[in-house]
Amino acid sequence: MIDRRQFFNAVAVILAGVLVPGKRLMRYDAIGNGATTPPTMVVYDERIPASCAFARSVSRAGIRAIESRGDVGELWHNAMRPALQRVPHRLIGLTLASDIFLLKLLAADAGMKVWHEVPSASSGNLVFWGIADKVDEAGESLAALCSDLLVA
Amino acid sequence: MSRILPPGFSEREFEAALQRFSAVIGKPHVITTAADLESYLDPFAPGNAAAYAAAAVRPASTEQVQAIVRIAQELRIPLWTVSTGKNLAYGGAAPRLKGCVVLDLKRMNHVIEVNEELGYALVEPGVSYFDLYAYIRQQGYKLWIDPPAPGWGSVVGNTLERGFGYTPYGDHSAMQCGMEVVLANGELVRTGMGAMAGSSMWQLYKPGYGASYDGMFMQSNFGIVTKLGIWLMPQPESFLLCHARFRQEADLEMIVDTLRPLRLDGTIQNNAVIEGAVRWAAGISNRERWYEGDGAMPQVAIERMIRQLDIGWWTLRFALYGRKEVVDLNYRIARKALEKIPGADISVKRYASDTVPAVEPSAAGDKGQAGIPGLAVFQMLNWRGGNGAHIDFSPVCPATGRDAMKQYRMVKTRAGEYGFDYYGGFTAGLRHLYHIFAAIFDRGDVHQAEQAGELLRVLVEDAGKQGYAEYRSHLEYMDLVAAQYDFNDHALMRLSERIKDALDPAGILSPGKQGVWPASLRGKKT
Repeated sequence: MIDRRQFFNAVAVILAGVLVPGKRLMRYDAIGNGATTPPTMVVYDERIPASCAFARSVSRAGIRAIESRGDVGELWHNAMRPALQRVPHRLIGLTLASDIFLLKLLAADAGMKVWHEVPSASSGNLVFWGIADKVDEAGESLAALCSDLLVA
Repeated sequence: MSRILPPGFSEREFEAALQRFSAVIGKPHVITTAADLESYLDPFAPGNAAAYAAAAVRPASTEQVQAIVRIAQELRIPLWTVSTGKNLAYGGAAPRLKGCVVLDLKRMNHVIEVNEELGYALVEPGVSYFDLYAYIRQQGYKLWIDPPAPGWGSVVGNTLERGFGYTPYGDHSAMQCGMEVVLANGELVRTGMGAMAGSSMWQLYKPGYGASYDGMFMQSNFGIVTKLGIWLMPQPESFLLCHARFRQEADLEMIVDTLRPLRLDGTIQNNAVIEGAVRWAAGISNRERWYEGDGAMPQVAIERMIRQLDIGWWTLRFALYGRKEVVDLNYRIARKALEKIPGADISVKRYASDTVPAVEPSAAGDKGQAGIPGLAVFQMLNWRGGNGAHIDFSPVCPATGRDAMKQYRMVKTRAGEYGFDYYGGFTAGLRHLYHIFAAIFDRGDVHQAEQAGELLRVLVEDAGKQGYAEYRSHLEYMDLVAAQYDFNDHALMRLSERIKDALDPAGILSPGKQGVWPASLRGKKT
């Protein structure tokens, strides 16, 4: 069992595309059977310390972190959807359950799906989630790691 | 699981029908798989969400809507129309009748016109408040929209459902001007001045000439609205957002009686909101912080929550708009009146409109009063933890303190009996209040969800006995709410049924909406 800090670091490493657990070291653009892995955005809630810690960890790996300011709807329309229209992104987050519920519906309208949704056992009503237009290998690995570490 | 089919259809017959729909709109826009049809389940069903949609079709133009309606008319396929289907507390995009094909208009998402000089927009049903807001900002028009609390809804859908927002243009159905409607036979009609082919006044003068029909297509199943005009408020020179906190539960009566004259004489121009303590607290905390026992939060826990969060039993939000000197004068008048309520604590923030993009009000409820759409209201889903959901009880209430207090006591008491907190408040029209109570439940807890559903049913009946009724309702209660409108042995319903039979004899348009069923199903469905 690893602690939360180690977990966040592991997530950051995976998202950076350096390592897929159980597999050899890979370059960022080699993840996903040779296909280019889409860039990732991490959504966090600045009011929640665990969410902020998660965002800090992954942003160290060069992932763009965006804060929800308590309204993912506004975030979606002002930042996420315009970014997705320019370049397909993978979205991840550790946010309140209501946020992923809303994002799931908004993403569906944009042709994307939630590929993972894991309640955090240790962080109140927080949910770890990932959204993409398709499941990719790094995402699958991340999902497995989250399942091991976050589910009670 | 067997496939859901329209009433009386075999699989083969329905497949043939779907092929005809595909020929009109293209196969990708005919939705048939169980996975894709999940978006047409009621997301906040009070109990298990039953699958009712046989398929969904997503046209991109009025002409495609006409073609679909003609096919449905010929084959007797019931259609359930949704604009964007985001009205979650009232059933989302789910149909009432099992076997309906959902006519989903979200691809019709064009802002056809915004006229800055005359202050209006003409939009299609797939345009959300977020979309219209972004369009106006991008074009630099000095106009405001009036979003409802969740801003992802359709401008057309919310207006047709008589939704409301929080600026002086908050009565959406009153701000509607001109419609384009596809009738059940596929014919296209434009209302008001739109009935004149060469008129430039479709969005300027609502009545036109002769009988006026716009209201007939609101909360109804008499036609499909494919374009709608909505008036937009000119950007005010300045505005002021005010919060007034009140310390006692019993203050509600005096708040309403103080607010009413200020609304009637125009001192307060917008739909002011009186929020209960739980509703305010749910935006900044969750329930388990205050109470972890069974049942509704006890009074002592609510009082502790109010003290520790330093919030009011009731908080009044209102805004003032216009030239600075007028705003200042109206504020002094409103403040003087509200200060007569013992313990009133009034705070205010001023804004100049030309700084709006840079200096926006941050609190969720404040944004609506500044014409800015958002979804922060859904923070309420975290109140009870788990997979939060809510269904709403929305009676209209005379704008008097005694009626508001009577409804509040009635709803709070019943909610408590069923284990729910009073999450609610009153939004002030001129002579009426919209009393909105949300039963918040965990979708993962079947018992809790069913209790929420039963509570809603009892509340509709309780209110009916007191002469109160809802202005809109969840799908599940449409017949029950319609039944409360019982003057002269339900004469209004009989009129609606005669109109339905005349305009839609095959009964293909949204069967059961607001309790109006086609003749073939009348009396069979309750």
